[in-house]
Amino acid sequence: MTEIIENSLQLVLLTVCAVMTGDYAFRTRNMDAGILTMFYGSYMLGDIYWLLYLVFYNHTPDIFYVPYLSWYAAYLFLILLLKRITPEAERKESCPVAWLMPVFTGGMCVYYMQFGDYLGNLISAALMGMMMFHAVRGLIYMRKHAEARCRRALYMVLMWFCTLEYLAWTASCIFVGETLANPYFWFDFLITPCAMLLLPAFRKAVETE
Amino acid sequence: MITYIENVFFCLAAPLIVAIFCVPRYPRRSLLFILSGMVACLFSSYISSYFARSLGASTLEASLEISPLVEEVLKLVPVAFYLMVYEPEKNEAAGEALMIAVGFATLENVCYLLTTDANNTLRLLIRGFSTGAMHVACGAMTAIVMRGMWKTLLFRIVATLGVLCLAITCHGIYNILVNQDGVPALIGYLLPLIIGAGTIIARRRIYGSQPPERPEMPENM
Repeated sequence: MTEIIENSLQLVLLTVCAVMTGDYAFRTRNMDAGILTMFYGSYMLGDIYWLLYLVFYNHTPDIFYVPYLSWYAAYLFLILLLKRITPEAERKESCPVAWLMPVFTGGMCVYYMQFGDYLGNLISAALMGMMMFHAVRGLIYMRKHAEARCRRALYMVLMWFCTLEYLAWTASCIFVGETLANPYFWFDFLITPCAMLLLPAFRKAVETE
Repeated sequence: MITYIENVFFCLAAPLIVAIFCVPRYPRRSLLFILSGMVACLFSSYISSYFARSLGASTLEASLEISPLVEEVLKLVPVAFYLMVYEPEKNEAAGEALMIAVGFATLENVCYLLTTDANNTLRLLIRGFSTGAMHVACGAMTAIVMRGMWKTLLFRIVATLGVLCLAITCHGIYNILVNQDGVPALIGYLLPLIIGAGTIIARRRIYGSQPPERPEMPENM
């Protein structure tokens, strides 16, 4: 029941975000806002499938993980958005510290493989690694270049988003239970406001530029 | 009841194949896409059955988790090929993706008719306007998003994978809903029409309301 309530809340809030971002994208004819809409839309669709499955069958999908595909698509759209808003100079910046992010996601992937399937974990690790790499490189780049600070909020929110996802996944490996005592629900609940903050952070990054 | 889907396919595809050699270029391309939709349906039937058996899935699990994945992947193959090789205009691609979905839905509906009674008009109308329309709506969504994002290589990869995942999930949601009774099933039956309407609105907002001009057929097709 806790998961159903938590997912329903996430679904409603992300739907609001998707509508707001979509409206902004159509009004401004902004492709980047359109990509952010796709992110919210994909995440929302995954939530709908997950929620319906839980409500009607009282368990989560266990053969082909259809909703995960939607969430992977959401990550993909986020990576595309990052690629688009990052200027050439930032992309060319050498940043060895940022490479620690793919190493971290790879390590976590090996850990998660003990509990779940190999392919899904590899895809998650690759996508999360790319997102965190971009965010860390951006955060380091802006310490040297003041003009890049407009993207600070976006990178920070993104790092929080990825961290919370990892905390939720790790908690789901360690703790089992359907009550609020399970930390998985705390982290999963926090992902929602974090995903919502992506919209103002994105607008700040785009409009300040 | 066993459905000899390959026999049904040959029966439906034969007039199309003959017509492909007889009609001029523009309708020929549409016929080719309808035929490729039927081929996609044929193969998806085999592949879904294979996965269901090898993974030990029940009929319901296969319908909710395996079929959406296999069907949407196979429907995407001809669209992706068309976009990559012929690089058509924005409006054309959406139209041809619809033809693939129409071919797919036609063969699927005929197979459905062979396994059930054809005397219940209401049920068949619902079936036609929901399941058939679901394939068309997902096909249209795929084509519009893909064509809109068909720019750089990165865009192409993200658009293809992203929209494929979305179409699979939409299809999966529809299958969950129509497998229920009462209001959820009704929402499920209306879902394709909602997606279709949303797609039309999005298409008009993105590309404008101008009807597409009849394109020239590539020489080598």
